[in-house]
Amino acid sequence: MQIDGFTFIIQIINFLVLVALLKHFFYSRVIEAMNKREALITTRLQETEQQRQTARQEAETYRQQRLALADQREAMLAQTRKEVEAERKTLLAMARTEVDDIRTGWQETVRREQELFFQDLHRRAGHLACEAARHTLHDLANADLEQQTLDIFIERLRSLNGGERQKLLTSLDGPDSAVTIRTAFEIAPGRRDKLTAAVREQLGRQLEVQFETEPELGFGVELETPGRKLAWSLDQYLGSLEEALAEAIKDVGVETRVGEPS
Amino acid sequence: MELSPDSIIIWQWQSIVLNATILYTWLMMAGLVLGAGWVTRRLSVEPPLSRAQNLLEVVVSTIRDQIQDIIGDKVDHYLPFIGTLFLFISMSNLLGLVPGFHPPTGSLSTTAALATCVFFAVPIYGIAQQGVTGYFKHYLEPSPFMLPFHVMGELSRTLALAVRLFGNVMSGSTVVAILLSIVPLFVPVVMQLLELLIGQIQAYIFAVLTTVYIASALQAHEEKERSQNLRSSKGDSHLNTL
Repeated sequence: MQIDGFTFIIQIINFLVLVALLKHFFYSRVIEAMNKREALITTRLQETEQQRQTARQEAETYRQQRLALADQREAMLAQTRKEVEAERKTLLAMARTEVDDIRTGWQETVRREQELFFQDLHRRAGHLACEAARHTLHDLANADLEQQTLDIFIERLRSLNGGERQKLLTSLDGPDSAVTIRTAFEIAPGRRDKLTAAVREQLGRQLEVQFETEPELGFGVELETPGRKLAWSLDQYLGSLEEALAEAIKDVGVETRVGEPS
Repeated sequence: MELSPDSIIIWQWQSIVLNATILYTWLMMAGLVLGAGWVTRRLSVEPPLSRAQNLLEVVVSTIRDQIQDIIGDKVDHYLPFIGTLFLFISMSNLLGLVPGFHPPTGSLSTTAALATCVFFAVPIYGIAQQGVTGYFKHYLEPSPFMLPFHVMGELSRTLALAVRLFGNVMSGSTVVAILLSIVPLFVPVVMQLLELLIGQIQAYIFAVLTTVYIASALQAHEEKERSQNLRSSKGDSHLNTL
């Protein structure tokens, strides 16, 4: 077993040549390709990391915006609720005011109708009462009611107490003092003289007495001086009757029905 | 029976002899260079990679990792020498399974030539790293009296490299040849498989030992390299037993 010198040298040269050839054709190229790929992968990893970072930042931004939008939405909803509530209260108040107005108007209408009713009742009752009294007096005393009325008025005038009489006299102190006697019916001339005499007797002067007829007065006599008035009429009694009727109507629930909203 | 392909003369002119060792070395070189050149001609940086490119990159990256583990620095500086040693021996032993092919590593001339290349490469790399003074100084450490032992160590390990590789390859071929004459069926196949394994292991051992020798020549400067050299020495003693 020997080492062949020529082969030994040739093999050394062969090996060195092979090292050079492989270095050029193999290692350099493969290493270059691997390094390029490694650099490429590194670059892509960096880009990926950068994109991931960017995506993370954008996600954070979007999250913040979403939260801001949610807050804004909540704020807008709260504002809207507040406005709706205020509007509801306003409309409710307006509706209540309107209802109150309507109710007030209705009540006013009812009250007015009630007043008209009582006025009408008053007039009718007065008329009927007068008719009834007139017929009664005519049938029983053989005197008409108007005569009796005037007699009663004269009697009352004569029976005035000191204070009332003094007040009437005081009211007649003026230069144009006159006494006006109003009745709902026409007074016969004889009765007028009698009344004039009674007035002048009580008030102690030569007063001018005027007579006026006023159907609205109802059954009765009214004496008026400047600032004072003395009356006897059926209105007083009818007024009492009216109040009693009004109370009776209230008792049967007229007022309750008026207060109910429709 | 021929124990060495050196004795197979293909062509001769005066003192120039073209024997089987040289011829098959050239053929193998041609195959390696042409194959590598063909594959690397169309290397692609981006996937998909061809199978051949994948194979070459796996081989290169594995060798680089081994060198990285042992030397640790300037891997691409040592890759062509150590990688070519491994590829040459590996391909030679692999092609030895081809009938009619005489592996060049079965020639003591070839293994001696490779060991001689290692013998000179180690101081060259050492001097390139540390300078002439820095490299040869360690021959005088820890004492100048150690110089003869250092020189003997260098020579003996070179001789061990050559003989180990030659012995393994030659013995494998011889065992298969003997078994073919005794038990022609099945057993030589099994032995050839074993020879294939041994051939690759020897290629690995030769390349790793070369790396370890170069690493030991580079020792000196950094603590890191010292620790690696300690590890390399352990690997050396372990591999020398194989």
